[in-house]
Amino acid sequence: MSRYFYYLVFVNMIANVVASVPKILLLEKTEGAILSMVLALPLGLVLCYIVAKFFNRFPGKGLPEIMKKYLPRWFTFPIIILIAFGWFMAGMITLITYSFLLKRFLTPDMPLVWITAIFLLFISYGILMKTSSVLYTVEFVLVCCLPVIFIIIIKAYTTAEMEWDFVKESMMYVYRLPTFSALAASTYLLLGGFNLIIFNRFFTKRKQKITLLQILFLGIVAFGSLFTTYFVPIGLNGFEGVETISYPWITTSDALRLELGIIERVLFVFLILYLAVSFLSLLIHWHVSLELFRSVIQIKRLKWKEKNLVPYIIIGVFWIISLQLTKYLTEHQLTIYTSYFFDGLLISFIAMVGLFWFILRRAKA
Amino acid sequence: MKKRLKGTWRAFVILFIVGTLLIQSGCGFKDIDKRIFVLSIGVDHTDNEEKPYRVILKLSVPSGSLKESGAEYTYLIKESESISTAIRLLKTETDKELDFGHAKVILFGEEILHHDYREIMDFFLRRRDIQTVSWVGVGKPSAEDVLTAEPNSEMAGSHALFNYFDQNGVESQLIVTTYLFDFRRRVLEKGIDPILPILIAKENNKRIDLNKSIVVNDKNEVLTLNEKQTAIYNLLTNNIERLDIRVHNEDVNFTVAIDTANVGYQLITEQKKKPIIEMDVEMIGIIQEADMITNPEKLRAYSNATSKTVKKDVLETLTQFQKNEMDPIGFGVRYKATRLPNNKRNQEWQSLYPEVEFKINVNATLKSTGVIE
Repeated sequence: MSRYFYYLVFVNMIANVVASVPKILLLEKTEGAILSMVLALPLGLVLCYIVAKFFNRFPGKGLPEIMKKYLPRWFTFPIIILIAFGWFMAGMITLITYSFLLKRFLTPDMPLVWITAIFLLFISYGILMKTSSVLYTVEFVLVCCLPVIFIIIIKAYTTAEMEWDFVKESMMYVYRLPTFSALAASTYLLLGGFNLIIFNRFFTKRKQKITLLQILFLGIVAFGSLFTTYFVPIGLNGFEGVETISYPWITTSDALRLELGIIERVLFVFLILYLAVSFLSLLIHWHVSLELFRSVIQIKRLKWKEKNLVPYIIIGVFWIISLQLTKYLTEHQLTIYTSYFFDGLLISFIAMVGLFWFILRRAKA
Repeated sequence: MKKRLKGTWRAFVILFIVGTLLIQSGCGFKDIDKRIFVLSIGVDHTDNEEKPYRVILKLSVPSGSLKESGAEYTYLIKESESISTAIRLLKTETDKELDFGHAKVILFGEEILHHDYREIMDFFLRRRDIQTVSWVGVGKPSAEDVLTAEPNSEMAGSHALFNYFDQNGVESQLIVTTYLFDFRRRVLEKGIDPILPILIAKENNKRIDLNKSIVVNDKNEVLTLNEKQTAIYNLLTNNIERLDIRVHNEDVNFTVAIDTANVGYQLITEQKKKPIIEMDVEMIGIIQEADMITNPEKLRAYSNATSKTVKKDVLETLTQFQKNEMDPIGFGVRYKATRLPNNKRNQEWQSLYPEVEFKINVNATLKSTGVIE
């Protein structure tokens, strides 16, 4: 596959380190979080492989085009709406989580709604861009951020305060049976490939097939990121102390100290970096969502100066829902609902594989 | 014409958006000259039931230029029922915004450790602006005395307490450094106890001594470690690699400078046998000082003498911990980390620990007698 496919997967992996995934996993630390992660790895990779393989057969086409070609309209419409809504929720979770984070750590005096609104302002512009421009943005920001993130992670592993006994203590729970919510949350890290349902429009070349070697590479990176997500907070915050932390990774990054760095307190560097990556994640998810909505909701008459207004109306709806939810939700509710969302997502993605299989059968016939 | 109209429209929209950013009053940004920086925070316990906490803030006084200013500090002190109420009241005593972003030292009076220090710890952790990489210590005779001490060697623009803890300034085997997050995880985790350095203000608050430490266990009992025990603690937790050891041998007394040290231990528990902690200490160093001419051919004998001394010291220290039911090294965590959980590992360890037998193997290697023999 082309390198842009990796970016899609990586953004999901990295962005969720700060969001709810570590919190959900750490809640299950005595209940089989480790085995869930072990299971999630092959499951996620298989899903990733299937989705890449499927879209390899239809170069340059997104899911809506494929479905319209092979499936009846009454079936396509609700399915696409459902998928689009799922992607919208995924982006929304990132948005609200990050608004909370900013409110807590960077701009405590700013009203929450304002933070969300400024976020939305830039995102609205971003998701209206062409698919290729979105991918170029993703590449540029990732190339800027990844090296620094890498240094911070290396720092976390090598700091003298990293207590491996705590990590070993948590590893002793390896024999506990996996739980579904932990499995779903850790699989989510690997599901970035599913963004192909829209971004495949960009991959027009036929030759770029996914190979097992590439999946293996993704597997190694995914293993590293799952391991880091879960064990580094435990090593730095203590096995028993880690569960009462609201944002495990933020507190963990605050436990690092770059003595001779430009900024001594890693927390702020970390927050800014993850602000960028979360922005990408949000951009990707909502771009997919918007494009999906657009592909099925077409009102030709709604025009103003030869411009179709449908996308703007959809974005308006995005704004209203986001702002209302930001006002309504508390941090704790957000974690719980996110956990439910991941659970539902895993099931529906497996159902989506069924859909792919169905389309392939139709295509062959 | 139509195109130009579109351009104006777009410019107007952009201007409008930028304009809304201007009117939002949110950021609450205060200029640096409207802020005053808290360098360190101290909390003492008063015997007053209604206002049990005495909060001391050490502030740096801003000055125009580095040359003309000495090290100038000012202090804010308030007694109150909780730390946040005290700080709220203290805010009204300065004309500037208190900024905790640079507070890097937190000191407790010893009396705090006998009471509920968890509540105080909670305050520091819950606040977002206090770094969890700030250093925690115990002040004697009180946190206030240590904070108000202004050592003569203190320069303008640098805070002596920071230099003590920051391993860029002094580096010593006798200084224990405990970060706030480390303190927290040790307090919350069963099987490892928090250890804090003790700072003693001396000579009319002109000097600060920092060579002892204090361990607190789950029952709020404390154990003060002297210089030697502090050094041994630092050695055992691999916090330091360099240390000096005084060795008394039959014919010659000498001091050894160790430059590489590595310590590892194993926990062996077998049915119906005494639990054993087997500790291996590897050390490499040279002779730094001796009271007579040393013989290079006898280096091996000197090494053995060193090993014996260290072994005795380590055993003494560990037995001291054990007798007082203190566990700053984290044997309990190691116990849990090497056995599958059964929900009562903590209790098991508590009954095992008093019976543990220590087997210590020290392997000290002296490479040289130094520049002279």
